[in-house]
Amino acid sequence: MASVGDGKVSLRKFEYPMCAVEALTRLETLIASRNKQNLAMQIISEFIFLERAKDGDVRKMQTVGGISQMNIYQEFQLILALIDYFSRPGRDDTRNAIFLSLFGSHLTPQRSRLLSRLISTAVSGSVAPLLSSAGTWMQQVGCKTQPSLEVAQNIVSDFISFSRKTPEQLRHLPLVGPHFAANFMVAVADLYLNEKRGGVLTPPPDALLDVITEWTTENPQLCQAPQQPLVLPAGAIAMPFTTPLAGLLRWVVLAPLVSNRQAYSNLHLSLLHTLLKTVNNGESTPLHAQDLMQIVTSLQKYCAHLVETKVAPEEDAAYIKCMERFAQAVQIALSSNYITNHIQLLCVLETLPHHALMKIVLAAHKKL
Amino acid sequence: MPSQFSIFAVCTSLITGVCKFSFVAITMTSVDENEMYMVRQAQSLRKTDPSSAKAWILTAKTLYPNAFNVQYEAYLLERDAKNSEMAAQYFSLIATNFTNQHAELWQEVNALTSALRNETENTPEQEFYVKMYKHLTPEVQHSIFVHTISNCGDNLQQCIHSYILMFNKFPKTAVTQAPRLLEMLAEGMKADPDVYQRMLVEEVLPLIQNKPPELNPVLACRLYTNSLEYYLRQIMDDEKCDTTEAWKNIFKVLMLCGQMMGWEPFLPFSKQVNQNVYWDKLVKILRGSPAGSSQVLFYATTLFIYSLHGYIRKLRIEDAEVSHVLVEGFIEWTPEGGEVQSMDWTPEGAEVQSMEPPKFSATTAISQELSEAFLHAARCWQLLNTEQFQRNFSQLMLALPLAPWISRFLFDLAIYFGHRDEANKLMADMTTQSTLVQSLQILSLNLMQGSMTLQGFQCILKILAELPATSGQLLENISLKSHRHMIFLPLTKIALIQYCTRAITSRLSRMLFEPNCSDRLLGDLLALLQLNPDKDILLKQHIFNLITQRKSFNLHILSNYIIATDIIEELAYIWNTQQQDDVNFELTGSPTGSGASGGANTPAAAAAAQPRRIGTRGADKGARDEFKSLIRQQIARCNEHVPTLVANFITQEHLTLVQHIFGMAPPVETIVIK
Repeated sequence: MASVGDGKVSLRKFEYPMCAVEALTRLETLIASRNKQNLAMQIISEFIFLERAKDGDVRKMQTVGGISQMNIYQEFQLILALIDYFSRPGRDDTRNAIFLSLFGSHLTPQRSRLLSRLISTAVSGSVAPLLSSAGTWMQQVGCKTQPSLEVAQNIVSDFISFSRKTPEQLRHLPLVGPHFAANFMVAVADLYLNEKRGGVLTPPPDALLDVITEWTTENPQLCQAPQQPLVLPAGAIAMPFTTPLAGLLRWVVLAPLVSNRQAYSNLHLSLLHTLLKTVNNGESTPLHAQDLMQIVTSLQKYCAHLVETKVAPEEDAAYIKCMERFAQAVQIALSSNYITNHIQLLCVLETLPHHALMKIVLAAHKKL
Repeated sequence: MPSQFSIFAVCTSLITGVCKFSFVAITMTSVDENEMYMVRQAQSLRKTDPSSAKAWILTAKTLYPNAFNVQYEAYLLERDAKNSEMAAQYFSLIATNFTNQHAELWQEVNALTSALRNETENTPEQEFYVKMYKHLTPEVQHSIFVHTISNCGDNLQQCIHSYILMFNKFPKTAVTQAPRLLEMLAEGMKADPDVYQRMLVEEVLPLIQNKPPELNPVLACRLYTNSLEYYLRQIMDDEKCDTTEAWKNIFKVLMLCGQMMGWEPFLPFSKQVNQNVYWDKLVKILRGSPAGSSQVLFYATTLFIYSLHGYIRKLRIEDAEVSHVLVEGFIEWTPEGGEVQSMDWTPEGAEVQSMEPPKFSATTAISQELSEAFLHAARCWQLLNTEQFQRNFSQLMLALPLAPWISRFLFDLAIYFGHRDEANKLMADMTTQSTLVQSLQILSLNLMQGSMTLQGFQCILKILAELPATSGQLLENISLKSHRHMIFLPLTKIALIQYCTRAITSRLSRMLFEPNCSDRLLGDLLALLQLNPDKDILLKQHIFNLITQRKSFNLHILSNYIIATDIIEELAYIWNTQQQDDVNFELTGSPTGSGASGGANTPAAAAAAQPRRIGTRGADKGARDEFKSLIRQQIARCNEHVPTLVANFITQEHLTLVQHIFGMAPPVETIVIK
């Protein structure tokens, strides 16, 4: 079946993981040419992930996914080979293309597990080129899609949940891989204090909150970090960047409903500074009114609950604190001309129970 | 028609004007309220949740970018967080946008300037202000000082501090602003000289030193006088004061003020420079200046005070081991010279000579320096008391705290010139002197007249009663042949005894040439002359001649007071030769018993308690042996301390001495040592 020309024969002569290493080198040329995508996928599957289709048909593996025969030692060897490969000097577009080929948007559980481990290892080892490719990958597959969320979740478990002290490598991530860090924030922001997930507001782990606060405080440009265009192979369409601001603002605004940690005040202030500094000059990614609607929805739901229990929202301390932060964020975002479609937002905000500052803010912007 | 129309137009404009005004007023109040509401929210969170407080202020700033309260609160938040860089940013904003209508801002400006004033010893809070200041732009820094100065109002001290601070931080401003500051200092000195003199000298002058501003001459002179006063007080009041440093500074200020007034520059200070160099320079300037010119006045005054200080310092213990006192020196009297007044006495008898000032005897190692310092000061003093300077100089002297030095100097000057009456008057001004010095000065004044007085003698007794512990040594040249001279007498035991003894001997020695001088006089003189065995050889010879000429000679005091080998040998020789010549000569060596009380302690005195007559006739062989043994006894005492012996002699035998000098015994009470 395998033709002599496709090079599989020569690859078969190598033991694992040498065949994987060799395959990666070959992939560089295969990926460059459009009509060899299939072959590339086959090589990846066979020589890198050691997958085999259930019915033995290699061609089906691409869509269905094969059953891997890798043992845990081989997985370890593969991660090392990949780290080594991505650490080598080379073109960014090639590296990104290979990363996207290795880990597409539909991942087998095995590849997904490998990806998470690979990225955690890259974070630990501060492997900047790999993190850069991972950042591109996240944006291309979507930061809030399942694969991205899984990666994010895995980083949280590896570095936050099972770590007593936040490792330096994670704290310095914005310096090593700003793009990846920003996308990671988008994903992780979606994981917590999000009613869409299970209908309850789950606060992020304290250490995670602290790390994010530190990141945004010390790197005010981080939320706009991925402004540089993605380096993709010719013909590929870059997916738009989502700023982590919307998700993080949801955190700080809704936090009073579940937590009164001071850390939220700090993160809030840091976000306000970011909003203030990134005056919309047409280049930075704006906040869509839609992004903030989710906050409104959650607040409305909370107020409805208050009314049910015969408590006036205007006198509820948590609600007041939420609105205080919300109004501050809206005011500063508006003053920076940072929100698109803001009229719609203002109209919705007006429907919320009274809050003094929000009233001032709305009054100030309605005039305009 | 046109008039009606115009009235209408005015009315409408009035109405719209009113409307506009009220509208503005209403929005202003609601804006103010909102603004205050947000500031209050921030304030309530400032301590508990500074991040939330900052969030409020950040929001308020986007809503009310021109509100002082908001900006100020923003500043306070950064200040409280010790965030010097951010605080500086807000401070700059406030300082440039809101100039002077806010009390809170002034409080901060004052805190800032006072922290800058003493950067070395600041509290942590003040250190923050210093740090913040460093983050301000130079423009803002400068405007802070300008505003502080213009807002000081009546607070002179604060205003001066602000100027000083500004000159420190912006040296260029000193050139134009220094005159104003100096005027203020002069103003302040009227009320509180100590504080403002210190500020002038310690803080302001160093700032303008390199580029002195143009100043009105009266002010410049006044500032110099003030600086001089400050340093003089330092020199006088502070024992640890480095006087060389102080004088270096005085000369520096003098140069500076001279520069401001366009004077010919004087010489810089150096301790090594001989005073003559300064004097020559002064004379040179004097020649090129109009009469009574202020540059000469100030240069000469400074030089005078410098010399005066040198003189006073050398007189006192500061520079030498003992203090010195200027006293009249003795003139060796010879019978050929006759009974002339010492002042007028000259070999030629010419009157011109008497006009010449006295010389200084080289009595001690420091005499030369002392006399030079004195003469330098005297020279300046004389120049400054010429008609051209006198008035201004005396005014200057009144302004300066020199009284204790001047009174001593003037007294010394008076005795130097032989102005006895003036010296007597000045004596009253010298209140700080010890009684020893005072007694010595009165004695010297009495001696100036040439003869011993009762008062002078009383002084001798007082001096001997309070002799200092420092032993010292015999002085050279306290008595000279020819010319009136002055002595810097060190206040040591031996020097004082020597001076007192010399005062008595120089009087008594003249009496030798009077007919029928008593045995007692000859004996007492011998006792006194023991002090300096190598001197007065001729006088001693004369005494021995007189003794030899007599048939009998009673040396009452022999056993008590005569121990000098040369005198005893001479007496023994006389006794022996008279014996051989077989002349009827008697030499008695017995005390009178009544007068000598102090000597009774010595064994010799006890042995000779009984009156003895030792004849040369050979009748009394036992007596002869006794005389010999007495002589031996006295020679055995030759190691006793002669000055003490002589001092005791004067004290114990003062009644006899008074009798010698003044003819008859004065009432005992007058001799009592007070």
